[in-house]
Amino acid sequence: MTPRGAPADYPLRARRFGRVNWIGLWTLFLRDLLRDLEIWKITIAAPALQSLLFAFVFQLALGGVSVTMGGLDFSAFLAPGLVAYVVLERGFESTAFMMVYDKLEGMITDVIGAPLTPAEMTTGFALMAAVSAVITGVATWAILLPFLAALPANPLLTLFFAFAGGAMLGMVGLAGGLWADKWDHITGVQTFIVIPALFLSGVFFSLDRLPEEVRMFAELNPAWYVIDGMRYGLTGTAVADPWAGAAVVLAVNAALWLLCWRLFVRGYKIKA
Amino acid sequence: MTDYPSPRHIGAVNWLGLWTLYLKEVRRFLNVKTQTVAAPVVTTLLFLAVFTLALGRAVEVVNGVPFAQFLAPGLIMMSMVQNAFANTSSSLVIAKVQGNIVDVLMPPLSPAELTAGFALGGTTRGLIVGVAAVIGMSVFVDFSILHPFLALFHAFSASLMLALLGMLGGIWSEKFDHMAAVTNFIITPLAFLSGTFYSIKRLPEAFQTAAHFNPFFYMIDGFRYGFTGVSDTSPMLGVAVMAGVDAVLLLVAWRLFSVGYKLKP
Repeated sequence: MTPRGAPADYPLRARRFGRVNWIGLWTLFLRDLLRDLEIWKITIAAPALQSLLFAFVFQLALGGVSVTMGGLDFSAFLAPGLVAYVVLERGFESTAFMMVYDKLEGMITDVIGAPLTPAEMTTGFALMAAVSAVITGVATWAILLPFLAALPANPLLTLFFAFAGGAMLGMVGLAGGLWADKWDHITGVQTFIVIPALFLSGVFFSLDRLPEEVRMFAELNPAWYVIDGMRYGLTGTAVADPWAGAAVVLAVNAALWLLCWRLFVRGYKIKA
Repeated sequence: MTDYPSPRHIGAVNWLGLWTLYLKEVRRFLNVKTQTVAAPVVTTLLFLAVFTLALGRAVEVVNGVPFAQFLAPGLIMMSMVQNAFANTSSSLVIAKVQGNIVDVLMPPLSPAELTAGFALGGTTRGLIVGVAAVIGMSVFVDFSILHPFLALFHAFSASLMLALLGMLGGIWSEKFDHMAAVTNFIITPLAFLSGTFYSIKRLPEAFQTAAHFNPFFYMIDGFRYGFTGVSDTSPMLGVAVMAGVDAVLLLVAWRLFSVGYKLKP
């Protein structure tokens, strides 16, 4: 039988998939990215404005005193930190809030029911978070340009760290979103774990300002390598070796990918 | 035949109804106290850590007050007003979007009682967050409260003002997007740029003049005076401004409930 309206020779047969369901992966990626972009006032404009407020407030609180931080003038130090913060925070929010929303509304069946393997789901969500984070990061960078006072020293490396950092927090958000049973849980993860971990690891001050014991923990935080790497890409000055930082970030991403993949394989909290 | 209950007699004020509405508003946020009380305290402490770690070496004193002691009242005030605003605005928007606003409009509550019930609920959230933030902050900053009554007045009047603004915003908003826009693009910038983190004297002349037309400036400055005894402007002027602004906002909110603006067909 031929579906109504289809050509007479319409080949009605099951769709064949290769090793990867490329159409499905692309659809998942695009669906979620467009959901983020549709509310651009919340996902792009608000974080960019918030960063601008931070930049102003620190500048005014300094009141003209000249401060050097991590080998840079303070505002040139702060601006890349704020861009990195926005990238990481957006990466987390995009997958975390989407996953909790889909679970609570029952829309998660649209993803589980589609012919997507756990690997494709993990990859689709992680890439979506990375791209969403990079878009917000670019907008924030543009608005903070007066504070940076220079174009990126190494744009490609900056983009790499932004993309990898967005994917990293995107997968943290994905795991958190799968675990959370209600909004309380995910905002708890955000307020009590993610934001403190980001705020205290090199966004606003270099780690040598921290007491010795605390500093060790801050250096174990993978987000610090993203922040330091993006600062290197934007200003040419960094504390850690950017290539070592890149290696750490990639290793953490691989581990997070495996974790999320495992959660999808088991159907953790999303399949009966 | 004679045993029918007579209809409830309501005097000039429906105290039972007002109390019920107030309790509903308070229990609504206490039900999720991790999000509504603990989270703002943690955020406030993070701001304190970040600002003192980043600027502590360069900025030792502001207006003769050690930087952390200058910062603490500003941060406490910021968390109070943001939460007072969030309480009333979210309550009204959620009720409108979900349709359970009828539970508030149907009962025998006058516009004045509605205004008071919502406003006091939001004020209570502001004050509870404020007390929690003071306790949390006292662990890290060695501050004293020189004029407790003035500090209390500003805590109350500022929470009330933002609770009322939240009501106006909540009544005006038709969806969550509108509310988020008001929060992100009006309330947060005002809370950030009105002297929370710096003395208004740091601003260029024109902005200093503009600040004197901004009620947020008076609430932060007056509250800080209550803690430190140092202020940018006369504390009594601040009391007058806040009382005046609250009175006007109360009237506007009462008027909106009277005409049923965006609430009744």
